[in-house]
Amino acid sequence: MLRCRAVSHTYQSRASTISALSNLSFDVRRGEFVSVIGPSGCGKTTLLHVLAGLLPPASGRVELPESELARAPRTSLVFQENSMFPWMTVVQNAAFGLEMRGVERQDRERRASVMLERFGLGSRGRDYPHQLSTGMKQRVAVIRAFLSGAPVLLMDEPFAALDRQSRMKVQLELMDLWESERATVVFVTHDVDEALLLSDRIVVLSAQPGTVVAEFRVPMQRPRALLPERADQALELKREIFGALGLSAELTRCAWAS
Amino acid sequence: MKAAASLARSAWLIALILAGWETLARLHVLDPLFFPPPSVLCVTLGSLILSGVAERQVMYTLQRTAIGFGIGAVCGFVASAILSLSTALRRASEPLISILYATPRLTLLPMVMLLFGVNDLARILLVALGTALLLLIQISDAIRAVNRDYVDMAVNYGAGRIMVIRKVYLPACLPQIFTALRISFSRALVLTISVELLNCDNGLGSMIWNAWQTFAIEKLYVSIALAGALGFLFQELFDGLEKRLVPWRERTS
Repeated sequence: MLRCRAVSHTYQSRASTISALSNLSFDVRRGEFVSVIGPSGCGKTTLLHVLAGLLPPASGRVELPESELARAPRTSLVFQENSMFPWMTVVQNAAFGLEMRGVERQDRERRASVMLERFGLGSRGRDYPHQLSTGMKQRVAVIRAFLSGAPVLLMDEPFAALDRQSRMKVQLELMDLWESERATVVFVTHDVDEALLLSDRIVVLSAQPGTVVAEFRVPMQRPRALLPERADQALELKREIFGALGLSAELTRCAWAS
Repeated sequence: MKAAASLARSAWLIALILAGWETLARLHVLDPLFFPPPSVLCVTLGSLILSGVAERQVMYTLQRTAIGFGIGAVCGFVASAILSLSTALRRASEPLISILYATPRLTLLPMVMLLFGVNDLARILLVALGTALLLLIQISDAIRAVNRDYVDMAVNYGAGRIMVIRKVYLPACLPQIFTALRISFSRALVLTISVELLNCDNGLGSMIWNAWQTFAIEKLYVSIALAGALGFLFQELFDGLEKRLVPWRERTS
């Protein structure tokens, strides 16, 4: 279980103190897929850095599950940009988590190759990141996160830079991977549809300082399809989430305009 | 191999210039006393090579360049590593380095000779100083420009300090390190030849100066051409080495 308890964080600049996170609490059960959405500037990235242990919270605490594997990291981050080391080949990137755990080179590269093969990147193992499309890069980053053996995966808008079609493809692949590996995932996004497709639960944050304003359970059956089987249910949930994001006024206006 | 290819690409232009020069000199439009035709220069080059003079002078120059460059490169690396570890030291030394860097290296020659004597040690140390300064500035910049995301990513996967340096900082800086090495080597060569021109009794620079003093115009042109060829050769050598060692660098050409 991942526990985030009353976490606050502030950034000190010369002129002012910016409160990025304030008294933020939520839990993620083992094997649960939780999306965090919120307006820009709600401190989503700060939250992930705190969860990853890269940034100590000003107050509050984060409890992370211990890893069952020897020397495995407790969390594994996937960034939106710079998600691959430009100086490593695709295989080396995918196997980086295993390398840091001290897994032998042959073993780790074999395991990475199997995963790459599964996601249609089998022939790209010796390529460098600049030879890949953005979609491929993000796929490799996701594979690396799953291979690392970390019990908690933290994803910071990993598909935000993709065009709509490749994004849907990668989303389906991520779902497939998650359903077979059952890792605990905290997935930051600003795309409500993406959150609805992937998550068990959606946590909505407010703008600066970020704090939890609402939580929604996503009841749709798995495995899910890109088009929800019960469109009315999905639409209702979406309406509620938009409301929690403070977008209800804009929604009415748009409906009126069209 | 690449050197040959790039020579082949500009072969027509070189041929055109040489042919024009040859014609104009033969027709006495250009005074052959000041601009001896290339065919004559080729004969001079041939005789200088056959007599071993060319090789001997080139080796003197190369030796000074290589030793100075080697010492300077090591010092530049060590200094940039030290400065990247201490912000206070870096801030304090920054103006000093900028002033030294802005001072034309050749003007320091008398001072270096005052300290070390009128000998090869002084000449080589001046070349080393030039190399070290350039590498120090370039590598320090490269270290500071390393994207924080990559460091975070490595730390997130449990990399310690040494691992972060090995897996992130070193490879991230390697392209700039290569560029800096290439530029500083050609600067070292230029500086060596300049020093030889000013104060030395062997090497390409002294050969050029002697040719000027004795009005051996043909020898003058040939030694300048040798200096240019040497610079070009090493430029290409570093290029090839970089392609091998930095295969992830995106190339536009």
